[in-house]
Amino acid sequence: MRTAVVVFPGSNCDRDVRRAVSETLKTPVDMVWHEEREFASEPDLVILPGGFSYGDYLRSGAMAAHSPIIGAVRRHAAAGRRLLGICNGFQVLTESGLLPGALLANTSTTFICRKCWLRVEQTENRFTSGLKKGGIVQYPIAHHEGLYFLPPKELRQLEDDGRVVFRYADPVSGEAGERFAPNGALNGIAGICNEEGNVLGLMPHPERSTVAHLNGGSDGGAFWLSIARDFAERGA
Amino acid sequence: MGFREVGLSESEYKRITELLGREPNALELELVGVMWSEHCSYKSTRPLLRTYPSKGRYVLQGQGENAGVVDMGEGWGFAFKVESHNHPSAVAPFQGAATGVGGIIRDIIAMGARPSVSMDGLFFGDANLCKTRNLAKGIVEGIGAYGNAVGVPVVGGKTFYSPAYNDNPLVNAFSAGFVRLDKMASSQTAKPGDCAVLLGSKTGRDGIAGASFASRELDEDARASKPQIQIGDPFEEKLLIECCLELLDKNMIASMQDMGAAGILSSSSEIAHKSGCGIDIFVEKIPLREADMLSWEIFLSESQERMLLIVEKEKLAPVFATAKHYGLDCAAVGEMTEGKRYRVYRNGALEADLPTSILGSAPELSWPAEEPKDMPERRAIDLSTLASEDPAKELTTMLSCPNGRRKDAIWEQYDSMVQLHTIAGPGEPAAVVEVPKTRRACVLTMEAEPYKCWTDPYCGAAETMTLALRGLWLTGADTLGMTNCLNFASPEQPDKFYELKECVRGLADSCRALDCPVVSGNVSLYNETASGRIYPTPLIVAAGLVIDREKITRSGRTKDGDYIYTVGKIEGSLSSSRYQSRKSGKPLGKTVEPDFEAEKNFRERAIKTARAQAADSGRVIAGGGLATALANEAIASGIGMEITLAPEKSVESLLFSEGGARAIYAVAPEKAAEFERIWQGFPLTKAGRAGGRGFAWKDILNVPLSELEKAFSGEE
Amino acid sequence: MIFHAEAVITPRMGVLDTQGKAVEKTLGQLGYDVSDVRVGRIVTMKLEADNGEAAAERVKEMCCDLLANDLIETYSISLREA
Repeated sequence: MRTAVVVFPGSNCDRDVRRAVSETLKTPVDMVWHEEREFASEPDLVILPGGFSYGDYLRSGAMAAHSPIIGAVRRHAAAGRRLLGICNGFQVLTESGLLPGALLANTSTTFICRKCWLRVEQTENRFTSGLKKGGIVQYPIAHHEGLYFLPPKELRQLEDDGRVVFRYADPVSGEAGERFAPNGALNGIAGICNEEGNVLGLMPHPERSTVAHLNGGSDGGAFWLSIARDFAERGA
Repeated sequence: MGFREVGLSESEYKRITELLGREPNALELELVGVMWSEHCSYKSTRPLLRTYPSKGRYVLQGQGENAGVVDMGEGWGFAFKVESHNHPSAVAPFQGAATGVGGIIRDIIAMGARPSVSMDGLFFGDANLCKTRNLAKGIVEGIGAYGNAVGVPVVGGKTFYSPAYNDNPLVNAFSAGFVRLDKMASSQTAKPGDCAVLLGSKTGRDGIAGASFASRELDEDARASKPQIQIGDPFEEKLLIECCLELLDKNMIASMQDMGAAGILSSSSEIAHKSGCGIDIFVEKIPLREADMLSWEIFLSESQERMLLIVEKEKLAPVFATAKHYGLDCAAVGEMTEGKRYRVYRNGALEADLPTSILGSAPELSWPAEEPKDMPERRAIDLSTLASEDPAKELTTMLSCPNGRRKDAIWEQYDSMVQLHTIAGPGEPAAVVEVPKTRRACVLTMEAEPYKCWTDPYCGAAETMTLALRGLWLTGADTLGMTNCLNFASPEQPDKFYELKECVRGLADSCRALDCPVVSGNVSLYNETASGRIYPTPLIVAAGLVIDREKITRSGRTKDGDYIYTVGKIEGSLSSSRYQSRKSGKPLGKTVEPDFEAEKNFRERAIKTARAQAADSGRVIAGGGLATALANEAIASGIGMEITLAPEKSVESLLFSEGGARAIYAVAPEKAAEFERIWQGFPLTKAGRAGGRGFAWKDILNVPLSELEKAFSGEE
Repeated sequence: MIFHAEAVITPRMGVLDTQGKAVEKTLGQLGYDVSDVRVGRIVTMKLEADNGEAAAERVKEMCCDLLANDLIETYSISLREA
């Protein structure tokens, strides 16, 4: 599986993602600068990483959504290939309309960096098919704008369509929902996918939970392996 | 313009005319005035700082460069430095703190290192004051806004509250970075014919003469001087980091210097002087934000996010191309020359012509030092006033007071995980960071003991230094070196200069005795107003090396059934401790005298314990004494304790005394024999056992652990 | 002709404005009796256009394209000749 990580000016989790993916999957990872108009390597997985693209100026992800590379990102997604947006990457996906909704400022009005527990809500998509539905995983969060928002009607539709992939949860009871969201995300939504299941956006950082001896945990490894297995079984 | 307006004394002005052989013109006077300010020249402190040991087994680059560099092994260097941004943060907390972070990060880039970690030492006033809360909020937000955006994780820090800092908060920003030894940059390798290139933001009027601003006491006028505050742009800085690292990786730069205090002036003059050549600057080539800037404004501007690069002529084109790739302004603004003149041209006219050496040769000032007349009062202490009627309540107060309570409300506002190398982060006594692609790790501790430095500058500073080192050794790390930020009041009064002199002596002696070279540092003087002054506050960051990251002793990993040991003297001194200061309303009494032999014995055994993995968990005894260390350990581990130690002098001395090489360990019963063997020859006492959910101390107190947890969360 | 344009962008009603809420609370603590505090942003610029309508149209396009996120924000535009 070939992976490409897009680097916007101000992205700062790009190298972390490269390390997590290459160490876990032992597959090549290409770094692609936002000014490119094509993916030279024909990647199977494109990742938009976390960070502060364009300093988060104007709105997080707003300017990155107009980067030259976005055309190629749209074509990649339209072709049914896997597209993953993490944190700022998720914000770029919502700003560019590749996923519905918007990420608003946390209810605390502060940046929050801490470990975070999620319930896996859905395993029909091209990413979490190898995880246990209903299981609890830990990927840390680090953001100022993580409050997932959709107007009430669209929110109900999203839920009914089963497109919520991760929901903020309590690790002890296994319950999930808005009251467990550190950022006030509506319905406790931490990550969603598109209808086809090939585009996934989530606020928590699975790459931070990949290297076991670091302070972020180790559940993330299973996430990358799940993607790789899905690729091995179903192709690009 | 007279010499006084630029902050020079009459004798300094006289010296300038001697060195020049004539009177300086207005621009030259402005330039020298800023470079000879305390903030830029360190004229009051250079003689003191020379007494520090600067060489060490691991030192690759000592004082003299932008940051110190130590050898981590396997081809990796570690550049680190701490810097103050006190005066700007007092006047504009958010931007003052933000630009403090930006500035220290650029010092690390200037060594060729990717800024990898940061920590902040924050000293705020009385925590109950609205003013303190607002200041603290602004400062914390500023640090987070900058550090998070630029992608440098905060791995530790120190926050301290005391009324002494009411009008003079301190913001000491530490940063460090890993650098491949074959890619290190220098400010000493420019040569005649090379081009001086300005990379980064356009130059505006930010922070004009901020350097001399930092060298004066804050008064009402200063608070009105908002234009002197720099505004930071972390987005630009992130691009600067990536661009500079790429330029270094491709060997396109001969030398590099960041632009901090006195921007273009200090960076260009320092590179020229250190490299032994001259420099010509062409003012009209400098990209400006405001077209009507005068030459002196341009030179003294402290616009952020700018670096000075020295580039060989043949490499100019690829340098410009790389800058363009990152969307950064880049302009050739000068040329290194033979001879040693610092010349400023504007549209062909020669505006200033100085020997390069003059800018760096402010005559050293030798201030008199006299023991403060109130020192006997500072040291007078009646121990009977410290008796504790309710030890349980005293302990919960120690845990819930502003200096004792958990600080995650602060550090959760910082990204502590970005760059994927934090092993132990904020909230832990020592930060542990992975050395890239190796099994090695770097350990960092940050310490300050203002109370103890107030009542005995020498002993207080020595205790600060040894406390920082004990934290490294307990983890299992070898000492690499330290960086220090000396925060003091005005040097112009003999009693205050005495404090500075004695603190430096305490640090220097400790470093020499314990093989800890001082690789970099910063001095911030004049931290006082008409209504008050700060305690003498030397802040230390010590760095250590661990060869195998699996062979370290962590904290908060006490297990059910572990024996609890104390190593070192059971009791230290209540003088100038957290407990005593709180009970008496101010620090009184001098702390323990340094015992370097005991420190060495502790060091040897602590490192052995880590390498042998003989303990499950360990923690140095610091603020709040033994009871606080045990309580912190119990809370962090989620396990209760039963302690059986009896007092030697008094209950409060047993529970809360501080000072000296002392620590607690939690040891699995099957490892107890090995542990006791390692600690032979050093005071060792079995203090109790871990288990359950209570915190019981025989004949002294017995509370549920949940009560301590609540106190630690700030609920009394 | 040269125009000065101003786009005022505010959170839509019904969208959680956490900044607005925090500001409202603090104002209340300071003794100000206010409600419905919203925090938005202003983008000002200079642009050249044949006439006012053309200029306004251009700024509207900018708002749709980049300056405002239609899902969560509304905007208003004002113009004056330079």
